[in-house]
Formats: sequence, C-alpha cells, structure tokens
Amino acid sequence: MDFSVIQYEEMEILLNDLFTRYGYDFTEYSKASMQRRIQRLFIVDKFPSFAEFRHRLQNDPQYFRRFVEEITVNVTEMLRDPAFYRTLRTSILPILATYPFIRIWNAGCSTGEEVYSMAILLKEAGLLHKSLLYGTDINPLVIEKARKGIFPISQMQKYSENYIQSGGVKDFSSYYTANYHLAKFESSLMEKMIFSTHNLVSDFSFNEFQLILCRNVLIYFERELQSKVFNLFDYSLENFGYLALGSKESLRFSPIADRYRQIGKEKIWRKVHEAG
Amino acid sequence: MNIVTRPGLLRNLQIGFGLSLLILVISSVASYSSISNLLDSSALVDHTDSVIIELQREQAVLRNAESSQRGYLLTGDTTYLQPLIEARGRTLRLADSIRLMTADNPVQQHNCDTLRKTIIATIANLQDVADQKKTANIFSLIEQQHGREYMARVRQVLSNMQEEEHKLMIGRVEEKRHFSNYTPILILVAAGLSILITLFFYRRVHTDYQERTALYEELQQKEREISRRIDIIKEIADKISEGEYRTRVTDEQKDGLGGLSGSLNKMAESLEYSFGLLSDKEWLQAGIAHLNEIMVGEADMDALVSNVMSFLAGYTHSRVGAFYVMDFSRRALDLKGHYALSAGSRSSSVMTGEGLVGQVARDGKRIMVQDITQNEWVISFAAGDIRPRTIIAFPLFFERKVKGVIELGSLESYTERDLEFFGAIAENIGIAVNSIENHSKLQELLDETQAQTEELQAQHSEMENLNLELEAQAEKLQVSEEELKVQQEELQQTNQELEERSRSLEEKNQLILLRNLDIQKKVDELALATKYKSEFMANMSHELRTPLNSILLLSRLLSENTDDQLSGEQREYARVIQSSGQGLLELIDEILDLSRIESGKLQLEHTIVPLEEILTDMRMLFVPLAKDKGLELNFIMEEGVSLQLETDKARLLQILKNLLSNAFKFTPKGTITLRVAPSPNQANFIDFSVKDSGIGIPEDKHQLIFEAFQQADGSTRRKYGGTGLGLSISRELAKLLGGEISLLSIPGEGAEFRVSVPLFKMDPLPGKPTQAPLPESPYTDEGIAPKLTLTEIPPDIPDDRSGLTPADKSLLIVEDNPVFAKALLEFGRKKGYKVVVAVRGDAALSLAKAYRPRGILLDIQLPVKNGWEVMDELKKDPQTRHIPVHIVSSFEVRNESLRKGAIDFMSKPMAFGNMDTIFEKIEQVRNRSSKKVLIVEDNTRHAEALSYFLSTHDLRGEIAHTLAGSLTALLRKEVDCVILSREGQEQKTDLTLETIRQNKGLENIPIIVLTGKPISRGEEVRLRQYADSIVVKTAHSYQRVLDEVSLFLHLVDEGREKEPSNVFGKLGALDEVLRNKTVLVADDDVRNIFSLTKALETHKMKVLSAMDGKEALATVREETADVDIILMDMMMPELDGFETISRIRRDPKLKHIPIIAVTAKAMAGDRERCIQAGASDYISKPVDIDQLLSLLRIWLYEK
Repeated sequence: MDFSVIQYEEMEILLNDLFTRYGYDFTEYSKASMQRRIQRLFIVDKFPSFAEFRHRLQNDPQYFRRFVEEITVNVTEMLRDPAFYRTLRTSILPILATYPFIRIWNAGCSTGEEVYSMAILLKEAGLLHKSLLYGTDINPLVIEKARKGIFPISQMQKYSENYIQSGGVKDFSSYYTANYHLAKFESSLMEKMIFSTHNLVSDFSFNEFQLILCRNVLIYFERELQSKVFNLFDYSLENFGYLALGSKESLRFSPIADRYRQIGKEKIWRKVHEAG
Repeated sequence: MNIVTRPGLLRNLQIGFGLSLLILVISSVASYSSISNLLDSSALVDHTDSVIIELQREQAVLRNAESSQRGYLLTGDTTYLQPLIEARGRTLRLADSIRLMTADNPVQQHNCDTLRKTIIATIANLQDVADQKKTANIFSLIEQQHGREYMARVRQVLSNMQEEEHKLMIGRVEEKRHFSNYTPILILVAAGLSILITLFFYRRVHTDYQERTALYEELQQKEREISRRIDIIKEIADKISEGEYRTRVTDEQKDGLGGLSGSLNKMAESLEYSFGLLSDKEWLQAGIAHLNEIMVGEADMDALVSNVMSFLAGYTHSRVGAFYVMDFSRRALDLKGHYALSAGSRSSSVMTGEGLVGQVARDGKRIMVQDITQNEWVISFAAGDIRPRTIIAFPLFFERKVKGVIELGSLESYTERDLEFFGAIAENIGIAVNSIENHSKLQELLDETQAQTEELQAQHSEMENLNLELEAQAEKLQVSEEELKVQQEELQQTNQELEERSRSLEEKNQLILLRNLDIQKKVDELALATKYKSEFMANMSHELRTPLNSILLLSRLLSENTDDQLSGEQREYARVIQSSGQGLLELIDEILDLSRIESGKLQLEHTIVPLEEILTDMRMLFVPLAKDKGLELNFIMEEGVSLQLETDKARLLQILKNLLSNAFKFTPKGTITLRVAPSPNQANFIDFSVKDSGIGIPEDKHQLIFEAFQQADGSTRRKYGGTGLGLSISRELAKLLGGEISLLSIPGEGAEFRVSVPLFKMDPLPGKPTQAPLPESPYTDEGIAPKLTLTEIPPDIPDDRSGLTPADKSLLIVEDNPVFAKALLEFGRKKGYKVVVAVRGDAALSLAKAYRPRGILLDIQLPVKNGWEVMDELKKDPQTRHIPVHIVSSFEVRNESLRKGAIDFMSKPMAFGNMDTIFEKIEQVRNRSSKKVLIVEDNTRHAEALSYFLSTHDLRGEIAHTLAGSLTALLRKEVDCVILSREGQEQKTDLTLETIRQNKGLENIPIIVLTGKPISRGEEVRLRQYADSIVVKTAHSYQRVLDEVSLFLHLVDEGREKEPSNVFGKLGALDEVLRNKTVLVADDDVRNIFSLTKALETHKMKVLSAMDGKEALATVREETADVDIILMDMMMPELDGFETISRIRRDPKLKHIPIIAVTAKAMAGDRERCIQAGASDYISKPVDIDQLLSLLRIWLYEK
C-alpha cells in the first residue's frame, strides 16, 4: 500500500546523483522527510516521470538551486518557545556577559527570525555591542531574506505574545517599523549579524563560539549525520560554551553527550569538559 | 402649380360624374316606382277578381246545394242529397279561403263571418228540410220559406261582399294611377339635366387634360436631371461604403449637385467621424480584451510583466518601456520588466516621488512628456541608440491604490486613443498584478503550512527515533541483565569448582608450610647475617660521612676564598683537601652502592627519560673535561633510535658517567665517542656505547675488570687513580635496569663498552635476589634504630629572620649540625633566599608559621623533636601543609621521607651540584602541587572577595597589589595561575603581560585577564596573545574565573608534557625558506590565528594578523614590502575573503603576493571559486600544519 510517487530506491539514486554532480550530500538526511519533500516538489513541478525529474536535476543547475530551496524546510518564528528564551535571558546571557566578545552561531537559521530574536535579547541585556551573530543556512534564498530583516506584519502579534512570555518588558513594536503588510526590523539589530551559506554536512567549523543555536534542524538528519554535526558543534564551542537545540532534539545518545551538562529543563547544554 | 391643378381636375370629374349619377339614380327610382305601382294595381285587380270568383263559386255551391235539396224533395231520391252533403264542407272551405284572402280588410272579414254564419244556417236549414222529408216525408213550406229567406240572405251577403271588393279595387287602382302619372315627367326632367351637366364637365375636363400634358412634359425633364445626380451620389456612396470616409464631392461634381454637395460632404464627414469613433472603440476593446487574455491565469510576475510589456509596446507602437511594481514596504518601485530598454538606462528601483515614475506613483496620475530632446532613455539597436520623443508614465491601480507604474517611450507622440487605452488598462493590469501578488502570497502561505507540517512530521519521527533508542537501550539493559544472570550462574559454578580446588590446595599448602618453616628458619639466619653486614656498612658510612661533610663544605668555602684572606698556596691546599674528600666520599658512596646492590636494597625509580636529556647531562659533565684534556668528544645519535626510554635516570647516568670517566682516565689523546643506537641484538633495547682510543684492555682481563676492586693491571691504579669499583657497580646497575654491559677491546687501540638497556621497565635479570626479605629501612626497627631525638641542643645560628618581609623568598633550615647548617645557610643565600635556621625540632613549626617559607630543609636527627615528628606537625597544620619539605639526612631514608610527604630526600654529605637540585625541586614541587592563584588587583576588597571565593573551592589566592610585585612573585615560580585585573591601568597591565610572557619559564603560566570595561576586538586579539582567557567583570565573573582556573590547573601538566615533543627536532634545512618571512593571517576565528601564529612562529616566521578583510587589506598595503604571503580566511565580517583577494589583486603592487585561501567549506567547486577570485592556492579547515608548511614552502621558495 505505497502510494508514493518516488520510491526509496529512486530517491537514493537521485541523492547520489546530486552528491556526485553538485557535491551536496543529502544522503544522510532523514529518509521519510526527504521522500515527502521530493514527492511534493515532483508533484508541484508536474514531472511526468522520475526519469525526467532526474534528468532535469542532473542537467539544469538552476533547477538544482530550486531543488535545494524547496527540499529544505524553513519553518521558524521569532522567540519560538518563549520559555527557552526566558532561560536564555535569565541563565545564559549573564554568563555570556563575562566574555569580552560574544560569538553566537545560529546554524540553520532559515529566514533569520531566531537571529533577530537573539539580537533583541542581547540588546536588552546590553550585550549587543560586543556580540557577533552568525547566521548560516544551506539555502541561499532564505539567507537573502534573513539579510533584509523584513517579516510579514501578520506574524507580529504572535511574536509580541512570545516576546512578553519570554520575559520581555519593552514594547515589541519598538523594534520594527511597520509598513503596509511588512515589518522591517531596525538596522541597529542587524549591524552585528553575519549571514552566510554553510552546509552542516560538508563544511567545517569557521569560528569558536560561546553559544550555538541549532534548533529543529537535526530532526531532518539521520543519526550518523547528527553525530557528525554534533562533533562539528563541539569543535566550534569554547569551553563552557552553550549548545541549544530544538524542543524535540536531544544531545543524549550523541557521542559528545558525556562532555555536556543540561541547563535546567530547556534544551540547552553546556560544554563542561574539553574533548579528549 | 401641379399640386393646385390636380385636385381641380379631380373635383371637376367628381362633381360632374356625381351629379350625372345623382340624376340617373333619381330617374331610375322614379321609373321603378311607377312600374311597380302599375304592377301592384294589376295584382290588386287580379286579387279582387279571384275574390269575386270565389264568392261566385260560393254562390254556385249554395245553389247546387239548394237545387239538390229541391231535387230530393221532389223526388225523394237521396242521391240528390249528395251535393248537399258535400256542399256543407265546400262552402265552409271556400268561406275560409275568402276569409284568408281578405285578411287585410276588416270589413270583408266581418262580412266573411256573417257569410259563414249565414251559409251554416242556410246549409243547416236545407239539411233540416231534407231531414224532415226523409224522416217524415213531408216538408214544411214554412221551412221551405225559411230556406228561401236564408238563400236570399246569402245572396245578399255575397253581393255585399262583391260590391265591397269591387269598391276596394277601384279605390286602390285609382291611387296607383295617381302616382304613375308623374313618372314620365320626372324622367324627362332628369334626361335634360344629364345632358347639361355632361356638357359642362366635358369642357372642364378637357381644360384639365391640356394642363396635365404640359406638366408631364416638365416632369420628364426633371427626372432625367435627378437620375444624373443620383449617379454622382451613388458613386460617392460606393466609395464611402468601401471605407473611403474621406471622399468628398469634387468641385466639378459640386456643379452637378448644387446644394446637395454640401449635404453630402457633411454626411461623409459625420460618417467619417462616427466610423472613426467606432473603430477607436473597437481598437480599444480589442486591445483590452487581448491584454486580458494575456493576463488571465498568469501566476508568474515576470512572465506577466514581460508579456504585458511586449503587447503594450506592440499595440501602442512604443519603442521602449519599463514596468515598475510598487513595493509598499519600502515605498519604492521595483523594475520588474522592460521592453527594449538598454542596460545602462535601467534603474532597478525608484523611490516614490523620485523621477517621473516615482511622481506618477505618488500622485496616481499619468504624466506625459512630449518633444523631448534630452533623455535618459535610449532605444538600442545594432547600429546605435535613439532617444524617444515622447514618454508617458501611467499608474496601475488596484482598489484605488497605486500598484505599479508603466513607463513607455515612443518615437511619435501618443494619440488620445492611446491615452484612453492606457487609462482603460490601468485597473486591469493593477488587478492582475494584485492577483499575482495575492496568488504568490497564498502560495507562500501554503508552502509555509506544508513546511510546518513537514517540521511536525520530522519532529515526530525524531521523537520516535529517540523512543526507539530508549527502547533499544532498555532492551540492551535487559539483555545485559540476562547476561549477568548467566554469568552469576557461571560464577557460582566456578566458585564451587574453586572451592574444591582450594580444598586440595589447602592440603598441599599444609605440606608447603611445613617446608617453608624450614626454609624460613634458614632465611632468618641469612637475613640476620646480611643485616649485620648492612648495618655495619650503613653505620660506617654514616660515621665517615659526618666528618667528611664538614671537611668538604669548609674546604670548599676556604677554596672559594671569598674574603681574600688566604694565599694561593693555602687555597690550593684547601682544594686538595676538598678533592681528596670528594674522592673519599665517592669511594664510600660506591662501596655503599655496591653493598646495597648486592643486598638487593637498591630501589629503582623508573621514569620516562628523554634521550636528549641524558646526552645533555653527559655533555655538560664531560665537554669541559674533554677540553681540559684536549680530547675529542663525540655524541652520536643514530637514526631510528627511540627518543625516550623508561628507566631509572640516575642509575643510567651513573653507569654512563662511570664508563665515560673511565674512558677519559685511560685515554691520553684521541677521541672518545658516546654512541646511542637501537640494539642490534634485542628488540626494544637501546645501546649506549662508549668508545675510546685509549690503552685498551687485553682479552684475558675482560672478565676481571668487572670484579670489585680489580683493574686490568694493578699498576694502573697507581697511574690513573680510581677505586676500581666503578665497573662492578655499573655492571650490577645495568643488570638491575634489565640490561647488560659488554666490552670490546684490543689493547693499544682503545676499548668500547656497550650498555644495553631496555626501552621499557623490565624486571631485573634473574639470578640476583630481586627483593631482599628485609624490612625496607633498618632504622625503623626498634632496638636497632639509632637515636633520632638528641638531647644536646647546639647554640642558635645567626640568620636572616630579622630583616624578613612576607614578600621575600624565604627558606627554613632545620639542622642541628652547626657547620652543615651554616653551609646550607650560605648556599641558600647564594640562591637568593632569606634563610631562617632552626637547630632544634620543636622550633620548626612556629618558625614555619611565622615566616611562611617557600621551602623547608629538614634533618632527621634533631634535638627535642626529631625530623619525623616535625614533619608530622607541619603536615597536620593547614597553614604549613603546603610548604614543600626536603629531607636532608645522613640516614638512607628516601622512601620513608616520601611516604611522610616530603618532596624529596637527599643523603648527607652531598655534592655541591646536588644543592642546586634541592632548590629546583622545591620550586618545581611548589609549582605543581599547591594550587595557588595569584590575584593581581588594585582594589583590595575585590581581590579579597575573589580570593575568598576561590578558597571555598580549594584554591589558594595570593593577593598582589602592584604589577611589579606580581612579577617578582611570578619569577619565584610559586604561582600556578594568575588572575590579572587590568582595571584602571590597562596599558601598564598589557605591558607587564608582555614582559611576563617574555620571561623564560613563564611562557606557559596560565593568565586570566579580568577586565572592567569593554574592550575592542583589536585589544582582544592583542590580549589573547598573552592571556589565556579574558573575563569581563560582571556578577557572574567569579564563577567563570573559577571554571577557567580549574580548567587551567588541570590542563597545565598535560600541556607541559606535550610541549617539548612538539618542538623537538622539527627544524630542518627547509625551514630556511620560511625563516624571517612575514605571513599575514587574516581570519576572524581567534583560535585559528593563535594556532597558526604559534605553529608558524616556531618556524621563525613573522606573523601579522587581521580580524577581517578591511584590516587585512590595510595591513597588506601598509607593509607592502614586508608581507611575503597571506593566509586568507574566506568567511569574514566586513569584507569577505573573495572580495579582499580581488581587491588585493587589483592593486598592481600587491598582485604578486601569494595568497592561500583558507575555508571551512569542503564543497566541490570551492577550490575553483577561490582560485577564480585570485587565490594562489587553497587549504581547507581544519588546517593541517604540515600541509600548510609545505604549501608555504612551495610559495615562498622563489623568494
């Protein structure tokens, strides 16, 4: 009873193609999720057959770009899980304040909402001036969006609620300028942001951070790839740095788990031992 | 005129014929009536005649009846009666028909009635008479009479009636005749009138006809003219119908048409106008319809825009055009598409209100500019550019909001129709744009929803995975539980087996025990003998040493002659005394050693010893000697030899020293070589061979020389000196170390001693007692132990306690022998210590507490309290516990000392060289064991708070207020970690930091910089060169300081151990290429900068650093001549690597500098991108130092 248009075997072929042709390695992404995304693209773009789909992907780099853009899932919102941000505010930022420079890496930042959330928190803690926020994603399109800092106004009410629940006491709307149906975040928040594409699968650590946020990214990866990425994070974290994950993700069972200690109930871990 | 004549004629005719007809009718009617009158009167006559006939017939019937009666009466024959009988019916019938005929005359009717009655009566009478006759055959005459009367009466009535009828007939005829008399007159009159009228009207009609003919002629004339005009008109109409609306009546034609031409022209004009209007409307409608068709269902903005533009341009003959869509968020218009617009004249975005387009967007009104000469827009074609003459920009609306603006340019001007068209489509395109935007918004929402679903699903599966993992672990636990159970069972079984075995073993043990008791007895006897011997040896050596000590120290002091009181000769004596003493000491030591080795009491201390260290020690000892003797001394380390070995360094050194000094002794000239090589005979062995070109040893003496007190020749002792114990001891030591010594020699050509020792710790070679069954230290045994606590208290020795400050480096010496104590005091002072001397054990603790010395030298044999007691006191008191204690005693109590917590043990008397090691040991141990953190902080309260905080975590904080103080403290090397506050004196701090790091021995001390105010990134980079960590002061700083400190203190040892091997032997010829070259490292990753800087600096490179592209560019420009090569990270703030490289390449002065791109990305094609950007080569993170070095060599080789 399999109604799938693209079979697992076909998907494997496709992903291997892409790896050899473009160097993008999706083979260790979660199979079920990958299949659903590919399926969706296949239907949306109305391909008559798998062979055609494969041929197009192999021979049309432009279409491959679209493939990457569509295959990656970009769900994010500002101050998502307010309790998490409350913990950041109360427990993490005071420690980060002791560093002369704070480097924060938001891996898989999608359209950047979390980077802006972080910037707001830092600003309110008076730390933004000495912070650098790196936002990376595999998808160049969302990185472009993130750079602009413009989000639909329809979301702002929800964000405001999140903001208040996360312990914010200011007026959330003071951070953006509304214009028709869009809200543009103030440029002072953006000054300390660096956005770049970065492939967690193949690219290496590019700096050392006190805080790495990678929320709801690992759910799309298979276990081995997760371990690989955890090692990359581990290498990129300073001693006593923090690693924050999504609500359904866990550092447990990972190869680096024994070097980390969870902070409270939230999905935040602190690196307490150097790698042996 | 015609109109007048025609009715005249008609009227004449009507009147004429009408009158004639009237007269005819009148005369006819008259004729008719007179004829019919005539007819009537004849009918009346007939009628009257028939009535009279009827009446006569009646009369006749009655007569018949009468006659028949009479006949009967006369004859009596009844046949005569028949007519009578019939008469009755006939008469009545006749009477009735008369009555009918005279129905119109009442008089006659009355007569008829009377007649009837009379007839009935008559008939009845006749009948009666007849009946009477019949019956009575008589008849009455009366009756007969009556009958006659009745008959007469009937005759009377009938004649009355005839008369009456007759009279009536005459009257009627008379009346008719009266009328008929006028008829002929009437007819005559009518005929006459008719003739008159006809004549009159003929005349009238004739005249009319004449007139008509004339008119007709005239009409025909006119008709011909009209048909000619119609032709002309038809011609024009044809033309117009063929669409030539501009056709007009020509002048020539005008003549023909006269006034009509004006009307025709007017008509043509109005037709032209109407048709023009119609076709415009149609053009407009068609355009709109087509446009709608194009736009309908289009979901892609770009496609829409380009379709619309090309249609609009084609439809309105525009030559160039641009389509802007409003971006409400920025209040700007984005160029979404264009038509034939050359690249130079496009502006991709226009703010509202700016320029023509912007203005249109702001006002929502169309703007047209005509007859332009200068214009930014150009229409490009193969041969050049044209500028449009007219430009129009009009807004696109949706719900009254401006959605976008279309700008079009044409070489002609736009007509009203075009403008109307633009007006008409503005809304449509606006709607289309809006709907596409809406569509895309909708699509986005859909995508978002889908993505959210996806995320939920992914999260769900992640949870499932975690669950699975948990389950798997639970299963594993179960499995291992199972396994444990099984193992337990197995263990139980084994236990049982073991129990059985142990039972059998026990039995055997019983046997063995018995035998052992025998053996034990013998061993005890043997041990006692050995003990006595050892005791003797030890006591003797102790007794010998104590005086020797004084001799040595005092002779040394004498010979140094610091006061210049002795003559040269005396000093020479002193030296002789010293060297003799030294020789004596060596002899005693050797004897002791040998005895200890033989009794198996010598304990080996295996450590990892770097080979280089051994060679260095040998060099230091023998190179000056070789120079003195003019001998050549070579140290050769062969390839493949292990760089370190695990052995007892001191013992190995002792062997080598022996061999080398032997070699020196027996070699008057030539060379001595120490060669280290892997052992050819045994794996994991290393050979040290000492070869000389001396006198050599004959073969038969080879065995002999290893025996105690033997030399090759008895005479040699006299000639060369020496005890002859050296080689025996060496051989024994080599055996203890697990190796051996072999000799290769030919007399006269020198000798080669080879020591083979294992690389790793090994059990000593069998054949020797490995462990003496004796207690380790004979002195702990009661009874035999010498008296440790003395009663005799020597006088105090003047020392430095009076001028001692807490900051001073102080030393406490606890020694009862005044001579030795003084000697130690002198040495301590020379080493830079302020020395406090205690001559009695009980004073030690209080002095230690009062002066907090850096170290304590403790003797064991002491007055009042012996050394062990003092040691216990010191270690029990938390204030003194950390002070390193070095035991110096003439008793051999090394192990005991170490067990009690001393850092080391040194036996008396000692060589002066060993004094140094005592102090080194003290410093070293202090550094390692006491977790002392130096807090350099201006603000005392802060410092104390931090110190207190650290103390709660088992760290001792020492506070220094000034940097100068901190530096001296550091140089004393008593601090494990430094916390340096740079508050208020940043620059000074930074300088000090630098100087600290430049001090030898302080390169590795962890330094944490506490800073009160924010620092710049540049500062951070600079500080990080010297500081291991930087902490900004906040409420949470202490915790982090603690984290860092504990981390560093933990890591320090590892770090130190690793370090030498890093630097070791890496400098080769190729490094010449790198030496003194300047490399710029551009990277925003501080870790990278440091690791690279460190690695490159070991290769004597000069390293500059930059945190971002701009800084790199500035640095490279500033020091153009100096930068030889650049390492460029590709992902940096400000300017990224690609941009920086291309900027550098654009600078002609810089374009030849090799640049090596460093990137974290490992994707295919990254290398190409870097090379394309202008990088010379490429290396990916993590940077492999060896790979980097070879890359650097390649790129710097040419320079």
